[in-house]
Amino acid sequence: MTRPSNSGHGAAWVIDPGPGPGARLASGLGASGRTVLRISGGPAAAASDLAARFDSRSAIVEALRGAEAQTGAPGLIVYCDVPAECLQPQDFAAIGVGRWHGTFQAALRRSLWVLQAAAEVLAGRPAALVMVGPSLSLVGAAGLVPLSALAEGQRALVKSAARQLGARKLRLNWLALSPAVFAPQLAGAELPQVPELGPPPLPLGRVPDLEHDAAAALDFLGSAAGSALTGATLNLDGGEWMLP
Amino acid sequence: MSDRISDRTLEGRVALVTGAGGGVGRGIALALAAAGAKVTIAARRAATGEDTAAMIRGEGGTALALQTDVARREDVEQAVAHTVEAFGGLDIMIHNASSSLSGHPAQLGEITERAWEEQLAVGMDGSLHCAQAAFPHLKRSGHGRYVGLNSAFGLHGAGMNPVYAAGKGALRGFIKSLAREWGPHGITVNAIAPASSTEAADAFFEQNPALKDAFLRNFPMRRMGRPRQDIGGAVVAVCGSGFGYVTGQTLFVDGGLMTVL
Repeated sequence: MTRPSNSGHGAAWVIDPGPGPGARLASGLGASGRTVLRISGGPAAAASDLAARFDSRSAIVEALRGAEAQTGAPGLIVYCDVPAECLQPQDFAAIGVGRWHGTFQAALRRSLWVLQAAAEVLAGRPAALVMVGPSLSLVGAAGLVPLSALAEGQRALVKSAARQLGARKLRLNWLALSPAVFAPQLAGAELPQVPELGPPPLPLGRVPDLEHDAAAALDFLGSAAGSALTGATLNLDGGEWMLP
Repeated sequence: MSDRISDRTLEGRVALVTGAGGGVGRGIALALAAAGAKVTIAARRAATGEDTAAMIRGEGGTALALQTDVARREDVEQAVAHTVEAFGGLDIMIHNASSSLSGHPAQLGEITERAWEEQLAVGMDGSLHCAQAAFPHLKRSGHGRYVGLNSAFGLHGAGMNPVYAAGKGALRGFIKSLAREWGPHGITVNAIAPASSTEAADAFFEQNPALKDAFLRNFPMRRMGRPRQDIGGAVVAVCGSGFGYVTGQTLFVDGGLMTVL
């Protein structure tokens, strides 16, 4: 699939502190004509990836300054931070304080640092930041309280930052992807059904994929066509929920 | 008409309310007690908790005041244990406490580690502690209720305090997933998002009456909620039998302000 070139909208950075869909999103964004740099705290998918530390705001600022030295100013920053431990279902009653702090709390705080660092490095230059998370936080899921608390906390943080940073030409939005993208065992929450009528059909007849559909949506949010969108949630589910 | 809720729909139930030493928490505790529940007042400052308990006893209700910092797991566990020991069980857990920093405006770049940690500790560590400590008792109750106090800022973000909004957003996710997990145990899990009058707001509007009129025009009901009658009344309803099939919801108790959903 060929998309219109957005090479004039600046580089795209894909920031993913841990394992997740970052590498595939970065690969898909390459079709936009942008220079794409993955800034990763996990294993490098390509030799060109920038390895970074995410254990403090200052470390993230340093990483983003390094990224800018490589690519120039970004027009699009994609941030995806869902710790693997959050994707493992666990009885709520058995979650210890250490796990709570090490997963939900740590990732939410890291999200704050990334937003702070992005605003600091951009220093008023126009850009779009899109945080990516699992759509199941919109409906909740048994055994995944830390995951849905994290994703909904990130979403509210993005909205709040969008309210503050719009005047500094930074737009922030949230892209919801199928939870199966993050972990296959988390394939979608069930839609309400009328049993005797059978399961509802997929409106598009397919589940959106990362390399084409998600990357295209990210590209749109980072382009002039998306310039009036900030603080929004895009649920990239192929029309499954159609809410709100 | 009396402002008091006279229907004793919660007769025989036991409730614990955090942050009940004043404001909305006190209003909720008074409403629960007036509806017949025995109420534990969990407050960080012992004196304010005792004041609320005394108000309940003054109306003929039953209350126990316990100094409790919800950010400390052992405090919450002790509060639940004392409640069960004193009243024979726990049917209703209300986590209302919030950090005093939640009302302080902050620019994103200026948010300090301390502000972040304190607000998340009270809000979300507190949620973990309260829900886990209450769980075996709510399960045993047969009509267990868990209610978290939320805010519209958790839904639409807050330009004035991103930390507060992030914590309240996280609470929405917490409530939805916990409702799905605890539904099979017969426990409902909901959030109340109030627009309540506060002492600080009242003082501000007293000095700025024109701003008050403009502000209240956003509310279809043209007034802020009263902690006991309006916010507490809604909590009593959610904790009653009539709401036994409602779970995973955020109920906006705000005079119609948030009609977006």
